[in-house]
Amino acid sequence: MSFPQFAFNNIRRNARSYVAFFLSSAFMVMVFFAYAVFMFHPDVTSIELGRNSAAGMKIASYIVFIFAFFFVLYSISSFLKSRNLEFGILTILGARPGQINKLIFMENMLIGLSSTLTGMAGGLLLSKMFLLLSTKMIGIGDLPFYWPAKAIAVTASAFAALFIIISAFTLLFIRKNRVLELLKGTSKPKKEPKASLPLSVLCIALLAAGYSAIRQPLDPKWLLTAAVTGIAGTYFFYTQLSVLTVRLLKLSRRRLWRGTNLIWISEMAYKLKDNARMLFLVTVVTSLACMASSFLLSISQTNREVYLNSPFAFAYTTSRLSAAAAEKDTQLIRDRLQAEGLKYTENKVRLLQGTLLNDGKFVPFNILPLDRYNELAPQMGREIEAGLSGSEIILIHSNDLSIKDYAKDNRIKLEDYPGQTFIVTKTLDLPTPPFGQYDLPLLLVSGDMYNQLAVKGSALTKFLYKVPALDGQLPDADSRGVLLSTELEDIYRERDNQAHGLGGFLTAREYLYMTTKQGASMLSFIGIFIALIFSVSSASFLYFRLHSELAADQRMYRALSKIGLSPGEMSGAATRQIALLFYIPILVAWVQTLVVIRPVLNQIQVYEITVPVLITIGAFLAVQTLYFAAVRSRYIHSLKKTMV
Amino acid sequence: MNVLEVTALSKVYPGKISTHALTDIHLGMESGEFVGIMGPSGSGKTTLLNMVSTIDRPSSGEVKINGSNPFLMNKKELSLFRRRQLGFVFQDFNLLETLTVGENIVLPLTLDKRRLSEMKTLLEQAADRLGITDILDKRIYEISGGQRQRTAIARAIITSPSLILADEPTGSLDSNSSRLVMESLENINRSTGATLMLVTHDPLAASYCGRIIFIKDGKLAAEIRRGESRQAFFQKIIDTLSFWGGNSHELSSVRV
Repeated sequence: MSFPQFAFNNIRRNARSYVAFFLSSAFMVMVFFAYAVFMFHPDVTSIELGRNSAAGMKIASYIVFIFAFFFVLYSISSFLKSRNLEFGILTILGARPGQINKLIFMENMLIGLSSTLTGMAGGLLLSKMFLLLSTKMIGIGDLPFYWPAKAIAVTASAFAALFIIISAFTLLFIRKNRVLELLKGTSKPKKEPKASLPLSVLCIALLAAGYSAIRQPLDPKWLLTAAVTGIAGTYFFYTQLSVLTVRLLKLSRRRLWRGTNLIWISEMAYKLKDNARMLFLVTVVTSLACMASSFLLSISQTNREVYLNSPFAFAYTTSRLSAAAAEKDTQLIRDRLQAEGLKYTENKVRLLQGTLLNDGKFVPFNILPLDRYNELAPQMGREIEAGLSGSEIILIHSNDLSIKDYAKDNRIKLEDYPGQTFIVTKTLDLPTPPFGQYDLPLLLVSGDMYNQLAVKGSALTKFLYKVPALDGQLPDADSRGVLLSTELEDIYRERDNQAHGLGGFLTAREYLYMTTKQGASMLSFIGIFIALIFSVSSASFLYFRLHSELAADQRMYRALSKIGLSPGEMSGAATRQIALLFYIPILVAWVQTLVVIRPVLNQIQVYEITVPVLITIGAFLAVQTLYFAAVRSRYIHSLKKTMV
Repeated sequence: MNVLEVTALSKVYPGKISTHALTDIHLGMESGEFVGIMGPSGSGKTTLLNMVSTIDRPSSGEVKINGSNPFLMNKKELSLFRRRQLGFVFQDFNLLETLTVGENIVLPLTLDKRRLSEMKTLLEQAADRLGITDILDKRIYEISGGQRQRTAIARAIITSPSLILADEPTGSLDSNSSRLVMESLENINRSTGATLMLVTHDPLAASYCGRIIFIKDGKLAAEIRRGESRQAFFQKIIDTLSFWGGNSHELSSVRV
C-alpha cells in the first residue's frame, strides 16, 4: 500500500462522513461556475440588463467564494478533530509529523479537487439550463450556449487555490506532539456544561441593544451596531442561554423524571453546548438568507401594490409658466397614445408648493384646491371629500414617516406662508401618491384659501393621463403599455438632460414597475442560489456533527436497550434531539428576520412584510424538513441496528 | 417455582464453520439464590448470560423467567419485561455521563413513568443500601470506579427485579473496590432476597456466591455449593477450576 493509496483509502472508506461535505463543496463550485459562465458570456455586455446582472453575479460569486472558504475551513477542522485517535495511533507506530502532514494534505486535496471537478462537470452540464433560466427569469434576450473556457479556468484556479491554502492552514490545528491527548482524543470525560451569569446577562444586553438599534432611524451607523450586537448576542444565546434554558427545564423533577425526558433533556445540554458554534453559524447564515429574500419579496409585492394603486399611466410635471410651452412639451405623449390607439383622458392640475417643519425636518408637499381633487376623484377611484372652509385642510400621504404623526385637529404652520395656521380635518393614508409614485404628499385646501396662497407661492403644472386600457392588471415585459412607457421615458429623460433639468419630467407608471420588477427578479434569481448554498451547507454541518456523534450515541442506546429502553422510546428521544438541532436555528432565524426586517423596510416605504417573511421562512422550513427527514431516518436506522 | 428455568438450551453461531457455543444446558435458579457462572475464556458463559438476559436468541431450548418465555414477546413487551423483571450490572458500568448519579439510578423508573414521590423513596432506599447517598448529585466522571459500579447496582435493584444479572462486575475494578462491590451484592441478596446471577472469571468474586456452576466448551461441567466458610469455598473454586482444565493461576479478570 503506497502512501497516496493509504490517503485514498482513508477517504473512500470514510465516505459516509465526507459525503455531505463533498456534495456541498461540489454544489458551491457549481454555483460559482454557473455565475462565471454568465458573467463571461460574450453577448452579455451588449444587453443593458445583462451588464447589471453580470455585475450582480460578480458580487454573488465573491460571496459564494468567501462563504466556501469558511465552510471548507470549518468542515476540515472538525473532520480532523474527530480523527485524533487515528493520528495518535500513527504517531505511536512511528509516523513522523511530516508524514502525517503529508497524509492530511493529500486527503484534503483529494476531496477538494474531486469536488471541484464534480462541481464543474455538473455546472457544465447544467450551464445551458442556467443561461436559459437566467434570461427567462431576469427577462432579457436569449443567451446562446458557448464553450466557457474562461469560466472553467477561473473556477478551477480559484478553488484549487482555496483548497491548497486551507489544507496547508489546517495542519496547524493538530498538535501532533501530545500522543496521549490524541489517543484519548474524543473520549475525554464530558464536564457538565455551565452557563456563566455575567455572559448570560451580556447576551440579553446585546440582544436588547441590537433590538433598539434596529429601531433607530435608518443609518449605516445604527445598522452596523445592530448587526454586530445582534450577531454577538446570537452567539452567546447558543453558548449561554441554551444551557440556562436546559437548566431551567431540569428544575422540575416531575417533568424531568418522566419517560425518556431524563435522557434527551440531559443530553440536549451537551449537544447544544458542543454544537453552539455550528448552530450559531447556521442561524446567522439562515437569517441573512431569510432577510435578503424577504427583502426582495417585499419589494416585489410593494411594487405590484404601487402599480395597481397608481391611477395615472403617465404624469408629466413641469414648472414652465407658459401654458403653450407646456402644451408643446406634452404633445408627444398625446401623439403616441393616439398612434397606439389608446383612449385617454388628459387632466391638468396646478399645484402650489409648500414646506412644513415637523420634528426638526423640512417636509415639502404640494397644495391642491379641494374642488379640483373632487373632480379627479372618480378617475382615481377615490371618494369625494366634503367641503372645507377657511383654514381647514385635508392631508393626503402614503405612509410618509415624516408627517405620519399628524392627526385630525392638529395645527400646521407652513414655512412659505408665515402667519397662516391650518387645521387638519382629515388625513388620508394611500398606498401610493395619487399623482405618480415618487410624488410629494398632498394638502387639500378650500378654493378661496388656494387663491389666497397662490399670490405668494410658486407653482408647477402636472399633466395626468388616465389610460383605462392599461389599468387594472400587471403588464408583461413586452406588452404595449410597457414598450410605449419605456420609449417615452427615454425620450423625456433625454430632453430633460438637454434642458438641464429645467424642462419637466415624466413619471411613467409601466416603466417604473417594470424596472423594479426586473431588478428584483434578477436579484432573486442570483440570490436563490446563494440561499440554496447556505441551506445546503448548514445541513451539511448538522449531518457531520450527528455523524461524528453516532458512535457514542450507538453505545449509549445499546446500553439503554439492555436495561429496557424500547426501540419506540429510543426513536422518540433521538428524534426530539435531532429535531431541536435542525429547527432551533430556523426558529431563531425567523424571529431575527421579523425583528430586523420590519423597521428597516418600513423606513424605505415598504409595508408588505408579513406575507413575504412567511413565504421565505416557509421555504426554508420545507427544505430543512427534507434534510431532517433524510438525516433522521438514517440516524434512527443506525441506532436501531445496535439495539438488542 | 423457580425464578429461572433453562431447559435444553443450545446456541449455534452459523457461518462457514458453525460454532457450537452452548450445548444442551439445563439450569434452574430458585428465588433468593446467588449463583455464579464460571468457566475459562470461550467456554460460553457470556453466551449463556446473553440468552438469560434476553439479548440473544437461543438456537433451541427454552428460557423461562418467572414462568414466562421472553422470546415469545414482541419488541415492546420485551423492553417492558427487561425493565421490570431484570436488573443488569455490566463490567463497564454503562452509566450515562450526561446524568447525575441519582438520575442514572432512577432512569428505569422514569422510563416506566412512575410517580415522583415513589421514585424518590425508592432512590433513597437503594442509595442507602449501597452507601452512595452522599454522591447522588455528583456526575459520573467525578466518582471512582467502585462508586460507579455501586451506582449501576443501585440502578439494577431499584425496580426490584425478579432476577439480577451481573456480568463481570469486578472486571474493571481494583481489589478494594471489588471487595466493596461484591459485599454489596451479597448484602442485597441476603437482605432483600433478590435472585442474582453472576458471571465472572475472578474466583475471589465468585466466592461470594452460594452456588457456582462451571461451564466448559459450552457444556455444564461441574457445580459446587458454598458451606459456612468463604475461605474454604474459595479454595474449592480454585481446585475445581484447575481440575476442569483451566489452571489454578487463572485469576485474570479480563473477560473475552
